Amino acid sequence: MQIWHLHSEQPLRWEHWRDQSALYQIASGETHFLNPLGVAILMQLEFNSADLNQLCNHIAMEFDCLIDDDLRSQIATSLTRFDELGLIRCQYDAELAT
Amino acid sequence: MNVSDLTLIELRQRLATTGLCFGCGLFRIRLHTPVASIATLLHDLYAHYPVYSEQGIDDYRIKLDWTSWSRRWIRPIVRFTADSPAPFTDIPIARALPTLEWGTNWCIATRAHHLLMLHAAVVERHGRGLILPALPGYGKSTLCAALTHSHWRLFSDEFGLVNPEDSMLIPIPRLISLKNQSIDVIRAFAPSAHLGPSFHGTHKGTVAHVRPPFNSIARMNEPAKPYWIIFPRWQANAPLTLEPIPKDRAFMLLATNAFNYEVLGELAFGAVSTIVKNCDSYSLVYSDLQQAVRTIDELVCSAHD
Repeated sequence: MQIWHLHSEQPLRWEHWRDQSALYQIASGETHFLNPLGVAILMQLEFNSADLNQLCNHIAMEFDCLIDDDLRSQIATSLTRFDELGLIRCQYDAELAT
Repeated sequence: MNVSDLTLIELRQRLATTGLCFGCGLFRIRLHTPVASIATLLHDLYAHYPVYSEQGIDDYRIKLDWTSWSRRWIRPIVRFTADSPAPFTDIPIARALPTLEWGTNWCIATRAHHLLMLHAAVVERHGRGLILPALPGYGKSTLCAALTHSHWRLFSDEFGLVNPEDSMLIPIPRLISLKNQSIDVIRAFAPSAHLGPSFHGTHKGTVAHVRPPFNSIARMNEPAKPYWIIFPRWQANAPLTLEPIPKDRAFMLLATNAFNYEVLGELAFGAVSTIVKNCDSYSLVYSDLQQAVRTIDELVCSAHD
């Protein structure tokens, strides 16, 4: 199973507005603009590493919605994008065990 | 002592020997040049800048010199350097002043990384700063010159300097560079504005410089807290519109407008966040300069009352 972590141990800096947030990643020096779903995913990973199921549970609670294929797909797409941007990385259970 | 307290002969001597050390905002600049015609222009346009002692550490050492002995006499050509070669082509003497001004801007833009540099004009009134970020050609300098001659204090027409530690605006009241039609627009708008000669055929067209008012230079060590961000855009025949900009969009526009956001990194993120948090942001489209100045005055007066 894939476990998602923040890419860097350095803290993220946030600025929140009504519909959008900005995130400064100290390790890369890059600023990213995020919608509320992206914010919720990254803030949860900032708090604790998680797999897709755990993230789906968290997001469903946060946004008061049901876990369905659409939600899973949106979260999975966001994770892939954050991985591409160097914000997060994944490890497999087996790697963690060693 | 200010530059105007020197006689023209004294100024020429300084420029040709030890260099003229003068202050512009936070910066101490030492200018060397043997070119007598430049001294005449500087005696007029730099009149209010304070002259500093020759002893001391300069922030920028700039030089405008003949390219060779012969080119002093035959089709005179000069070269701008700043401690080391600068990326400017040699230019005819007739266009030396614009190159000196652009060269000095280049020095600041490439080296003053202890400050966040916005590509913006900045003015101040009642202790409150107004930031006018814009792309070239959007009427930023024209609007800045008009406001500077309408009870606002000039901070800069080009560099919105921000102390990243406390997000305060730092004055750097350099000459305001006007281009093409803007020159006559400002002559008509503010007959009291002190303009230098027009330089034709530069890579930006015809250029003329407005001397900063004495008060702006006398108070150049007084920073101000930013209160408003107005993104101006001049558009021929457009009706005036002034529309609020949400804070997330203002952040994005201001961060991408800064010359050195990436260089300062986290400090820049914090400074832009603080500015956007503390400021009301607007976009302004205008064609009539009088109307634009009046609208900005009304906006500011309503906030002041």
